[in-house]
Amino acid sequence: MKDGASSDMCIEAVNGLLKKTGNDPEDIDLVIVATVTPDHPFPSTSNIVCAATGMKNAWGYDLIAACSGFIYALSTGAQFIETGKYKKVIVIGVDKMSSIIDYKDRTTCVIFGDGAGAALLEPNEEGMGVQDFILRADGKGKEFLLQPAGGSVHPASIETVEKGMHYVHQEGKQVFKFAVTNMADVSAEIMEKNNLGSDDVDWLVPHQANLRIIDATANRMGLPKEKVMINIQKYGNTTAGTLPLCLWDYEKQLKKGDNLILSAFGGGFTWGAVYLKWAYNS
Amino acid sequence: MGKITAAITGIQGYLPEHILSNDDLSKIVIRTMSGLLLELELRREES
Repeated sequence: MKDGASSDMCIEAVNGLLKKTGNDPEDIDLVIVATVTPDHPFPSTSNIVCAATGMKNAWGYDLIAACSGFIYALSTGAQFIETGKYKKVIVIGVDKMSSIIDYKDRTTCVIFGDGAGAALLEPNEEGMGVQDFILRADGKGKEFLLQPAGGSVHPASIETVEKGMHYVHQEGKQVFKFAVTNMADVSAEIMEKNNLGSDDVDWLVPHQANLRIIDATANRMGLPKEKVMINIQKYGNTTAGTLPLCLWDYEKQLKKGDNLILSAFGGGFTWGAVYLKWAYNS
Repeated sequence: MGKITAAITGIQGYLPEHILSNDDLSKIVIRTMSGLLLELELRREES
């Protein structure tokens, strides 16, 4: 993305979502933005998006869980609906990874991309929607995948800029090792917890970081390739954007009642899975 | 009344128009590699 910020991608996605679903912006109660590339440390990107799209009755916040951001935000947003507190919640996964990528670093610059996806959550009494989630975190993994500077540990300075500390730092082998085990494990765990066999799962919606991690997760779940959503070859790893962009890409193939397992692993470390029943036919 | 669940009732994506192609990336990487080699050469000459 040459010009614009994460909020600009959110605004495009939200405006399209509101138009597509026939909703008035003033009817939206809450907006959660999962991102590691907010417009600013503050105000929140959610605030900016609400103002720009006319969602004047909504409040919101940004949520940081790196590549697991969308499943963290989806699980969180679902609680506001399930408790009856709100009727319309928008969950956004967005990242402008090009803003924190060092294009001299061949190990990261070819992997990451920019993109946004927005999902509207509403109450359902037919048993569709979020059925279960398992979310995990382990802060011991922070050194393997992070943006070292720009926060309170290393505020921006000439030195941090000169050392390239505002770019993504990733120790690929370590991240791969943790990701391939934990994403597969948590996906199998949520299936077992909900008595789902491989025939019961219609789609795996995996975070798009690495095809080998996706394959390992699908194999562990006993799923053929035809049931796995893949778009990494088109957009790269858009971090919090990968899962909603997968759902958007495959929306026309989804049928009401389809069982989906969303699965992700990311910096933190963070990881988890969501079991979801798709609620509509396109 | 049955249990209320939270369902996704709409999904929309947005992708920037500008696409960084493999060709673009290879030019950046080649330029970087050339820069590194030049820097190494200069350091060698300095020492």
